[in-house]
Amino acid sequence: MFLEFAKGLSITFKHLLPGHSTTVQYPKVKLQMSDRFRGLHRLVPSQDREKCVACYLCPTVCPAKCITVESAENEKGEKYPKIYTIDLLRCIFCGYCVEACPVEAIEMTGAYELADYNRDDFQFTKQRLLK
Amino acid sequence: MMPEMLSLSNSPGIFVGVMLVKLLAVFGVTIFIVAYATWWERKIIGHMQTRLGPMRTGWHGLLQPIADGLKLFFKEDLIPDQASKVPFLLAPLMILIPALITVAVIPFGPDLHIGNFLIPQQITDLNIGVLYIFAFTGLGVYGIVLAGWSSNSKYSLLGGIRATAQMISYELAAGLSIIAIFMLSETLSLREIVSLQQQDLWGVCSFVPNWYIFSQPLAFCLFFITGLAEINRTPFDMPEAESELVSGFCTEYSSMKYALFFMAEYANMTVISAITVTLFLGGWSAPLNIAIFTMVPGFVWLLAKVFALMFFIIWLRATFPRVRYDQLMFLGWKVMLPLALLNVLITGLVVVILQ
Amino acid sequence: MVNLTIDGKQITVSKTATIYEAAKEAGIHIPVLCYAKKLLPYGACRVCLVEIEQMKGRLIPSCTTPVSEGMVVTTTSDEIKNVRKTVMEFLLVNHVLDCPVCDKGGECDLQDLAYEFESISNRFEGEKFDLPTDEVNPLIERNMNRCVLCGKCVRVCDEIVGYGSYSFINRGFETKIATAYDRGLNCEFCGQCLSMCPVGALLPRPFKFKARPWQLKQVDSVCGYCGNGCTVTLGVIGDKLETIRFNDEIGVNDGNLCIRGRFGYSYVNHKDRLTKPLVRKDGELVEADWDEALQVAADGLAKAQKGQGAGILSGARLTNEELFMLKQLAKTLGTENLDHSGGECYKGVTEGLKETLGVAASTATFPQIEKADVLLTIRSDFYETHPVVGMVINQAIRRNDAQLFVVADKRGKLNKLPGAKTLLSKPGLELDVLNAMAKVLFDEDLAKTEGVEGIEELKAALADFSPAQVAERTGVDAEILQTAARQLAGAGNAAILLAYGLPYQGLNKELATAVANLALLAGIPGREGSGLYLCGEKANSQGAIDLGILPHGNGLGAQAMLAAAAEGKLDALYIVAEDPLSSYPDRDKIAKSLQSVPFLVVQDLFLSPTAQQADVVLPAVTFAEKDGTFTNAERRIQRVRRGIPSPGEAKVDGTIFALLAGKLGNSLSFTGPAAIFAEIGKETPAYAEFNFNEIGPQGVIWGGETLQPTNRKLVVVSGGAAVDGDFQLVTGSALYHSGTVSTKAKGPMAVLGEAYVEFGREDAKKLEIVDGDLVKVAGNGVELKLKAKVDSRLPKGVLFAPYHFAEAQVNRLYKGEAVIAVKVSK
Repeated sequence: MFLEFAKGLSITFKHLLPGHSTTVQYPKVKLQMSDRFRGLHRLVPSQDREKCVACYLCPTVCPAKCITVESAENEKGEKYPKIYTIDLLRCIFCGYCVEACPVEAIEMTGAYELADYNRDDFQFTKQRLLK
Repeated sequence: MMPEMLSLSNSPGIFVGVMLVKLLAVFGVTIFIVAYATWWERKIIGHMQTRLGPMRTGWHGLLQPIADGLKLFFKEDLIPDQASKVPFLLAPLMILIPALITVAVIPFGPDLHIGNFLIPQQITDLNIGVLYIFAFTGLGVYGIVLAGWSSNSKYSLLGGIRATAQMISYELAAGLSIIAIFMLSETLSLREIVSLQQQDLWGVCSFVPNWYIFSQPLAFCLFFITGLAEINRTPFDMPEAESELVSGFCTEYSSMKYALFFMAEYANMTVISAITVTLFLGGWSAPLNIAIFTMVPGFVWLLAKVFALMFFIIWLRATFPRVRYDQLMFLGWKVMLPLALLNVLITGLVVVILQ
Repeated sequence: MVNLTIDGKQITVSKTATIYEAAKEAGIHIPVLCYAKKLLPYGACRVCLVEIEQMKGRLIPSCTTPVSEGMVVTTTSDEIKNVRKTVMEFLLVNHVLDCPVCDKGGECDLQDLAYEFESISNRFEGEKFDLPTDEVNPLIERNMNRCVLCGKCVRVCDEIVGYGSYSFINRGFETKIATAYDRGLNCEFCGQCLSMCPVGALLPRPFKFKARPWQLKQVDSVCGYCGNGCTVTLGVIGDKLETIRFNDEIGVNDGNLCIRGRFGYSYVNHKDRLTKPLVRKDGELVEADWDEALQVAADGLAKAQKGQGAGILSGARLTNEELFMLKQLAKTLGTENLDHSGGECYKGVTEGLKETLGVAASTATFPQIEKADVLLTIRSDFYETHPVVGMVINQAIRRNDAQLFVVADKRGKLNKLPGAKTLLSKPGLELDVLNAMAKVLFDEDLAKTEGVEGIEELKAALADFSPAQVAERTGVDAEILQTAARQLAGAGNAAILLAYGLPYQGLNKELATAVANLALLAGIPGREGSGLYLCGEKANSQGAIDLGILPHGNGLGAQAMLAAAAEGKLDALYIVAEDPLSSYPDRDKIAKSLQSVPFLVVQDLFLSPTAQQADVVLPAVTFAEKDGTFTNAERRIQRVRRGIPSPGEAKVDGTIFALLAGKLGNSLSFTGPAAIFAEIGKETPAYAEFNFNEIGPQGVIWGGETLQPTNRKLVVVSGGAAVDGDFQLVTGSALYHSGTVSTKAKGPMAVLGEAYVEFGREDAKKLEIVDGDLVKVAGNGVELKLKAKVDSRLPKGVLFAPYHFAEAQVNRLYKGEAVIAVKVSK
């Protein structure tokens, strides 16, 4: 029993020694996000338009129902999203939209500092998502 | 001319002056220790849990206690509608004051020669110092019980009840464990207990002092453990038990009153360390009877030893989980109490045989 | 019956079933692509291959192979799976991977099969098609890159619609579906091909890129246009009716629809819909709240009733429940002046049939037409008024080798059907042809006279109607006339069809009587499998007759009411769901009536020309916004379901009636259509046996599949009279429209957007008129300027003008007669 106590104490003491801390001094220090990190979404642009073809798979698969898409026909007769809005307040960052997208038009960036002062500012419209 | 012990009768003016200085110094140091004990604990536990602890307020968070104090000071002071107002207000004071008052009998150095007066480095040397300590630490529990009861909240009440049971169970063992010391020292004055510990170890080893921890290791362990239980420190922090009782007896407290509970906890920690040091670790005396050591002022040694013990207490908190309530009771009544009695018995036999 | 084993399961099915149908009945799934329930087996896609114990060594397509006794079928094995998967790979070689932008995605059979067979890669490589899409027409988009050559569109257009727009052209890999000469699609736009296409090769343009199928709220209802009563499925997104889908699994009329049903829905969303009640103040119609408008209407009507009386004119597109409420409202008001649909056009049913057969409805149901051996339709316009019944006629001809006879003054789609024989008479003389046929039956002793009254009178009256005489008078071929009469009498199952409606007001009672005579003599009414069909033009024409929205006692009929109003003898008119000014014959008279009547309340969807004259206008709702029942022309009572909320403050007609009755002191409080339906049963015994909530997807038919006549009495009908004049104008319905409301719908308007007068080629040549010329048509003291349309279907001297377009004012020329003598000048 006493040996176990000693063992426990030695473990905590070891951690006390310098160099064991894992805390990152955010926001002074920021970690490099992994490539697979699921942060703010981004709509991928192609040459003259967004890659998105408004197939409605992302709003369908979205478990939080945070994506609003409205499709329309552009001058060239192509299908494009007239409206593409993500309500970040509802988004759970599961990444299903990225997985569902058949044309790789939506991806998730490393941006995670998404706090804001206004509810409306969490509505990410097509223009904001394309940036 | 033989220096004379400074007292109220031989030089009232100087006595009062010196007493005020001592009071202020002791109180100031204690409060300072209490404040920084919070920072220290957070730092140590943080590192032990591979975190950093406070880092933002001042260099490595050194100003954190001040920030916390200010913050708590400006918090809204809530008194629940259903609370019994007077006991609710009194309870924090009833915890803090006994904790602070106990420091009065802790000696922190040899008598000083100033002029032809001998000035003891102790606020007052009671010949029943240990009893005094026990009397006041015993009073502390009233604060907890009162806080729990007057809050009129189920968590607080449970916390209070737990505290009562815990106190009764461990006070007994604590008291019995140090009877052995008195059997060796034959005095209750802490000043004399410290001076007895400055002698050679068992009268043979000249450079190792005769600390009671060497002759009474079991008593030391028992006292330290029961002491932890009495001041509600992990692993015996049942009355607070954040995860079960949402802070127990102080659930309903906020602002400065809550801060008082916090201060009391750290004051208690300081006091129990100081008492343990005084009773078992030679008080203010140097660890070895070597010139370099003995030249260092006594209060430095005292503080060093107290800090060491406090570090150990914090270390324990970072390491061990809280015991279950039945385990607590089992330990108190079926382990600590018999062991303490056994210790008294053996010590008594040894003392009789040696005489 | 035949016994066979499928996947170890013993099954007994009818001997005409295919293996696929047998398996389906037994609940065994066999994948299909080119199979459709309503089409003949074809076997184009090879996805349904199965193994048959008796035919080992090769796989057999299950959708084309009939069952035989003792057959042992295996529907799944590794081999079959492999073969099916290979078939999928073949299909996908040239198929473009358009799914994200293809509107079919989500309900695409090919997609489902690819998923089922996990076709994720292809061992074969081939060039993807890159053909231009056909977007010439406004309604149907053809993207042949997505085509899998299942041939469903080819087959449905041929087998069911009978139009034959499509065919396979080229060979091998180059094979594709194309129209004649591979030009843009230009057909009657019924859209059957859209609903058949298993992939996204044929798609509705109005719905292009609007939504995914799974996002649609789908509400099964009944088409609000004609008396066919086809099941339509409202496709609703949010609160907007965005498309009409079909239901060929359980729907009425096999899920077949016409252009009106499929593309004519957009009037529901029209921006001109009335959303607030209007009340006339200082000569101007201004918006008012409901309470005020209803109070003004109630006060006005009550005051008129105390004076010279008030009259109520209803349309035939209200639900049965609403018509019932209207009747109660009339009772509350105390008026017997209640009528619908102009008061004349339905008299063929309420008087013609009532006198001869004793019933006022068609005697059989539409599915029976498909089984008929001989068909007789009066007027080729029958296809225009009731296109989906026209499709049933086509199926009877294709599948049952039925012989079709058309008595008509002009040619039309029906005449082009295989083997159809036309009795082309001069306009207004169809009566003579029918009488002559009756005479043939008498003369050749083919008439079934058992239990029939009035034989001698009729025989005597028909003295002048020998085929030869009639042939001379009317211009029909005497021989065909005799053949028609003989075949009609000799047929196992026979059907006679006649449509009625506002543009067919002239002689309608006489025609119905003559048809009923002929039917009685041929033994058709009440005989299982045969039927006499009188089909109303509007969705609930039959319901209005069943519920008795007719003048009772001393009440005035519609024409009498309008006449009385014109003479100042009627103090108020309440017009519901009708636009008499646009659609009733003799516009000038109506205009006078509406001007003279002191108080006019109009309840409608739009601020129609009639509504513009009103003192109070109450905004009502369309069929897509209400619950209730319609009774179609075959007596089928079907549920109409609400798919979308009403626009603005518009209220359901039934609610308006109840509120108005409340203002008049009698609160007609019912808890909903079910309660009202139960109430209807008390007054209309035929409806009493049904429970509103138990009306299934196929509806219920009052009087049974075959309605037994209560009476068999021949009534003498004299012949028609030809009119003199260079040109004879007839009005009627154009295929793309129904009534006037379809002129507010984008689909029909895109195909036919304005009024016209149609000329035969011969006349056009003589008058030197080409398509699109403005011509002056004068007759009945009125001259109209209309756009000319030249076609080959009209005989010499006959002109045709559709009545749907209010602004063309064809109803100024047309005063209710069967045919109008007109003069034409450029």
